[in-house]
Amino acid sequence: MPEEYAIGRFPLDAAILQRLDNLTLLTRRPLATGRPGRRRSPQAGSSMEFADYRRYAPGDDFRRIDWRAYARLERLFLRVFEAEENITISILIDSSDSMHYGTPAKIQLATLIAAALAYIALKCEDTVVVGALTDRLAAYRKAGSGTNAIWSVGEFLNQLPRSGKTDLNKALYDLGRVTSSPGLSIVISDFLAPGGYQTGVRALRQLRQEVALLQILAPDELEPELQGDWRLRDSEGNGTIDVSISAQILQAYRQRLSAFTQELASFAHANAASYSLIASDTNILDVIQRLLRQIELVK
Amino acid sequence: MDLLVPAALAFALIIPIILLFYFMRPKRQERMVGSTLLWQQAVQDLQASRPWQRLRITPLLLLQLLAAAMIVLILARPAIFSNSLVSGDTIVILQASASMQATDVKPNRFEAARNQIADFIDTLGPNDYLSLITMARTPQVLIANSQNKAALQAALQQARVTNQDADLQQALSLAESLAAGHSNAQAIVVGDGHVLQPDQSLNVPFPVHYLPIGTNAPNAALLSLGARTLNGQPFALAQVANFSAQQRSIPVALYADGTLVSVQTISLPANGRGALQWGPLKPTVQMLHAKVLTQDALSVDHDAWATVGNPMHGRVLLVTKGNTFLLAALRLQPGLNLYQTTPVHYSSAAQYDLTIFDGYAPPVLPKGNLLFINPPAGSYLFGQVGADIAVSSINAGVDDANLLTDVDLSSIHTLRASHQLKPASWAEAIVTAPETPLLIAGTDANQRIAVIGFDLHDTDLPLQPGFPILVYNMMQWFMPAPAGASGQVTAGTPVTIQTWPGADQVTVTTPDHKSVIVGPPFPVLPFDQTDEVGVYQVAQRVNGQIRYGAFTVNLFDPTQSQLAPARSLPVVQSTAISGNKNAIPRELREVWPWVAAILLLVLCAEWWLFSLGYKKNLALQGEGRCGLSQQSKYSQQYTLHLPGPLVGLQAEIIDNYQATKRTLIRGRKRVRKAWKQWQAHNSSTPGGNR
Repeated sequence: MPEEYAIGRFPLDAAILQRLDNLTLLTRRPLATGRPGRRRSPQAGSSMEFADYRRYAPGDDFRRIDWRAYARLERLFLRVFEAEENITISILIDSSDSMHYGTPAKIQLATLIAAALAYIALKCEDTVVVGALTDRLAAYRKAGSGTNAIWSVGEFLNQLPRSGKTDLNKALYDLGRVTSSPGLSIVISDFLAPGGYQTGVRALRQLRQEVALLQILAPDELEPELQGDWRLRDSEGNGTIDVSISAQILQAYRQRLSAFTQELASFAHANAASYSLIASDTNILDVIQRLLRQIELVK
Repeated sequence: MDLLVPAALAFALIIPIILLFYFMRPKRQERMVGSTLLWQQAVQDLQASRPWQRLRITPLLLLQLLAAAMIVLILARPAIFSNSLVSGDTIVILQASASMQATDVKPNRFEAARNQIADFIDTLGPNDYLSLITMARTPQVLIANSQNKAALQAALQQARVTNQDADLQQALSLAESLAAGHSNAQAIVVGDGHVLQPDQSLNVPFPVHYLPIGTNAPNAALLSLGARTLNGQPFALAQVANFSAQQRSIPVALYADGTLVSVQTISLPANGRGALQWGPLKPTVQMLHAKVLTQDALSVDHDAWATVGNPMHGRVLLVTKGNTFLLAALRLQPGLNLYQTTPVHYSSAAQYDLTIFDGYAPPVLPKGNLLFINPPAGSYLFGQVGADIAVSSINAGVDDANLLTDVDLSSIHTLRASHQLKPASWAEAIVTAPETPLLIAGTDANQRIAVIGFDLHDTDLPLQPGFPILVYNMMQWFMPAPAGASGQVTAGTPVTIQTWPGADQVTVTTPDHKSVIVGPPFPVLPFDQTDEVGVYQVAQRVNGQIRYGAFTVNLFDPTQSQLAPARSLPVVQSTAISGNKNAIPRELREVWPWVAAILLLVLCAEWWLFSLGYKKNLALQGEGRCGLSQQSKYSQQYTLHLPGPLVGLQAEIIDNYQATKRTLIRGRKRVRKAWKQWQAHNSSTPGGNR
């Protein structure tokens, strides 16, 4: 494990966590999990929160009759209250070799984002599953409610396994072994996988997961500052390429990067997923409070 | 192989230079990046828009390089040494004699020889010069020391075959003059080798090569045709030859004045000769034509013409008191219209071609030719006639007029006296005695005069066999036949037209009806347009009257009629060559047309290969579009990365889905079909649509 991750038992310090206390992870629509929690359930229940009226039918609980409504309307109506449930937040981090590239390394910010989102989720009494993606779901840890959950997550994040290649499709599909109930899956990766990502994300959707795609790229991936003739070697062993840096090649790279990110954004939109591109040198609070708020992942 | 323009090979440098640019790679530093995915895509995009790409050795590139190399080679004008008969300064002598008309070699020997020379011209190298000479009776230079192939071919086409013989000595003499100053000169004689004087041995200072043309084809020929008088009746005689290796029966037809006399067949052994005789013919016959009726390779020697007697009939007046001997001799002469009178009745009013005064001389001499026999003493146009003088002996004098041809003067035994003659300056003494000329003759102002100074009765000359011959010779001198006594000329031989005294215009009409005025001027020049065999008409206007005569031109040349080509030429150090076997020095021959032909094949192969690859690319694009869309459609929906046991389940689910979909489509079609049938049934039955 990189030494920078050994600071403390949780990747985020108390000051940052304090800033995250009031945040909540959002889903696009209520998810029915059947587990009691603090999230609105799409089903009606016996909670304290009034939801709606309905007409009295013989056999209903007469204690729930709203007499004020009867006084006004001379008809019998029942008060219906909302049910509250909790969901599983799956935070999946790409820990392949490509994520360890960059200045600063993309994996650093990914770990911080994962830690922050896990903290927010646990505070909302949601179940958190953190997973490491390489060419498969290399490792995962489920953390439910409880005081040790956050430390369990922190420990997992500090000891992320590292593998050479990336196969997001297979790795995301493996989540089906871990969770079977609807939830929110947040994938943190650079998505620079030769095999693509589309199949894996669709697999998540088929698992009734709401999906959020957080793409992290290093600054020198966003704006290369190379000059001269280079032989670029892929960090995951996908070969080399000889490049003579020129204005034309840089322009072509930017065009390809823009097309790639736009394609990812379009795909996310088409599959009812959230997407955000984050530079690896962005401050974690800026990420959580601004970028993720922009995509309505947190509130 | 040699290159005539080796400097053009410099163009080939561009090929490796271009390749070098592709092979050169810049030095690069290595750098690790997170992913090369986007870089690879960017480089591909850039390479697609660049005008060049990484060099790939493909069959198409190799064919193009090969084509470029061939173009460079063509520019360098490659040439190889090839065996050729012509090299350096070559004089080609084309035999144009009568035997070259033989058709044993198609189309004929002359054309075959000309085609061979045309091939020589095509193989001329840049340092070769060629001269062309045609060899007949008189050689003719067509073109001298030229290396312009077009000009040489044009000059060659001007050559014409003749009916003449071939004078090799003159041709080689002309060649020697052309070769003067050229150290590498040579001569090539193209023909069948039938030349004049084949037994001679000519020596020239350059090598002579002989290229024989022709085969040993059989040929029948007329070698002579003439007329003779037997018992006062004319007969025709012809000599026929069989130039072949087998015995042959040769039919020959004779025409007299255009009328067929008869056809006679002569059987001759191999290379044998024989004679045919027709007669007696009509006494008035003037022209004979013999024709061989067989078909063989040479036809120009199948026809012969001959005149009978003197074709020009002269009017002769004999003025005499009586001279039996002279009268008898004159009557024997053919072609004479003889008139006789006495001195008392003589009148010069009538015009005669020849007037013979025997023992008489009128005070006024008539026009026309004159013959005085035993003239009285006095002074005359021809000189002085004095008193009789004794004669001791008889001798021949200056006989330019050929009056004494075949006349034996030694047979004259009795001649005691003669008038003393003092001839004029223009007269010559034909027969002389120490004391006085006995016979003088000459031409003065277009008038021929002869004088016999003695009385014929005082000598035994009229009793000698030579007397009618002398009279005949004198008649031929006074009234000559146009081409001499025989009236026959060999083709190509210049003819000196014997004009009659007093002729002021002479016209010759050739067998192809072309008229040529040969005089004036006088004396007429020799007529040399005698290449055509046949009858030549001569018209002379004498004293206002047209006198017609003729002479004939025949081949009559056994050398030309013998068709087998000569084995060698009568030239020292001559070599016979056949085709290209004994080729002389090698010559550079350009081969760029062959390289260009191969280049054309390479370009066709390159085009074919390119079109093949283009069609393949089109097919792959179409398949790829369809396949990709289908693959993406299913892979998006159904293809997942499943653990091992579920892979088969996935495939089964996909198969079931596809099968179900197909079943649904078929069912839908059946429903539609049934619905249409039900509608059709209801609409056709009464009470339908319920």
